Amino acid sequence: MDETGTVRRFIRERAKKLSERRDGFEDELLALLPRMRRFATGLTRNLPEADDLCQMTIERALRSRAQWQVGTRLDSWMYRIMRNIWIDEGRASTRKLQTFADPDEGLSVGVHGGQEEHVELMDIDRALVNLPDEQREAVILVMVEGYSYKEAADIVGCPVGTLNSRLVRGRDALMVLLCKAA
Amino acid sequence: MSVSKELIAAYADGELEGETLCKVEAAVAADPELQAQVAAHHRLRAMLGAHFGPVAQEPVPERFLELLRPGPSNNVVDFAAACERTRRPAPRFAWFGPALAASLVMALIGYGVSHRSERDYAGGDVAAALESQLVATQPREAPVRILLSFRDGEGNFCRGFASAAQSGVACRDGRGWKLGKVIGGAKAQASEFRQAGSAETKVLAIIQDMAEGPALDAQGEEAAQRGGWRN
Repeated sequence: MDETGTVRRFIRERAKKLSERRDGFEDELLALLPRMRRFATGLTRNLPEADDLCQMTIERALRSRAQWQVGTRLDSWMYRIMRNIWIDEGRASTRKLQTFADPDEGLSVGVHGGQEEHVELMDIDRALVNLPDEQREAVILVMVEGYSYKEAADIVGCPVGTLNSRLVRGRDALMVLLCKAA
Repeated sequence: MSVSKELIAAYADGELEGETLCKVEAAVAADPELQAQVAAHHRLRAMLGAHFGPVAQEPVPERFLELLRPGPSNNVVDFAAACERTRRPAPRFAWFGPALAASLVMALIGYGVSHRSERDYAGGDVAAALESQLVATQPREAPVRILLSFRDGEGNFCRGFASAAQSGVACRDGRGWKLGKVIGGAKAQASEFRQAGSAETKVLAIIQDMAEGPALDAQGEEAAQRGGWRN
């Protein structure tokens, strides 16, 4: 066997292993993308905008990867970045969208079943639109993304009690709206 | 016991533990109204999950994957891609990111790199190869193979070499090729570690640590040789 080729292959494998062992940043981020899209959709309620938000989040995460501490949860870190971008840049365009879009159109994603299910999903959309951003965010982090109250509070950057009260108010409003619709 | 709606919600979310959990659990078990509230929370969670779930099942847009693909714009340098970019004849060695270089050195340092006296200079075949052989044109079976050439922090030309008896790095100064770090030969290493080319790998790891800037390409090497390897 060509010795140089062997050496080069060996080094390439070694480098690959080392880069994986280093922190697995890209791979872990890659695995998070579906969940990040889901969270972004929850925040923006609009898939094209959610994907723009995702892209900005990935770009910022790559730029500031040095700030991520190996061994801590990458998903919480990414979600924090995403919601900060959404607050800094996203909300203005979200509001604009809200003004011009027919709320009945809502999310086009998630519509995949029969007519009955379709109606139900549209109701969720309408109910979510009516929630203040903070409450919707709390509801989504806990009830969709499955974070504990403490983890959700860390992502949002508020005390657990604050998160809890936003969550309770948000879900109460949702339940009332959904009951009315039913 | 009266149970607040916050507590019921927290119970439904699985947030309670210890004594509080026991109390709420007992209260819910005894009260159909509370059971209905818990069920409503679970229903809401299920509805929201069903609503947003499909997004997470969809394939991720290609543009996101592009962003995460290792490349020149990212911090992680893909070694194979870097090799392809430098259109030099074999052996071609590109440079890792500094962090990777550091970890490579860390990983390899455990193999034990022996240090020779700083005053040692290369002689015989090794000196001849260092002086005259070019990476691009050297015969594949050359007894002493030059791995690559580079400049160290002081601007001196240095070359990594490997032979059956000895492998290492030497830098050119006024007197000749001063040996830097020298490790055993390729043969000894191969049997010792059962890994072909482990001596070369170690030499490259040493170089990663020493080099200031990229390896010389074929032209740069030729020019350096014409200049007698003097900076």
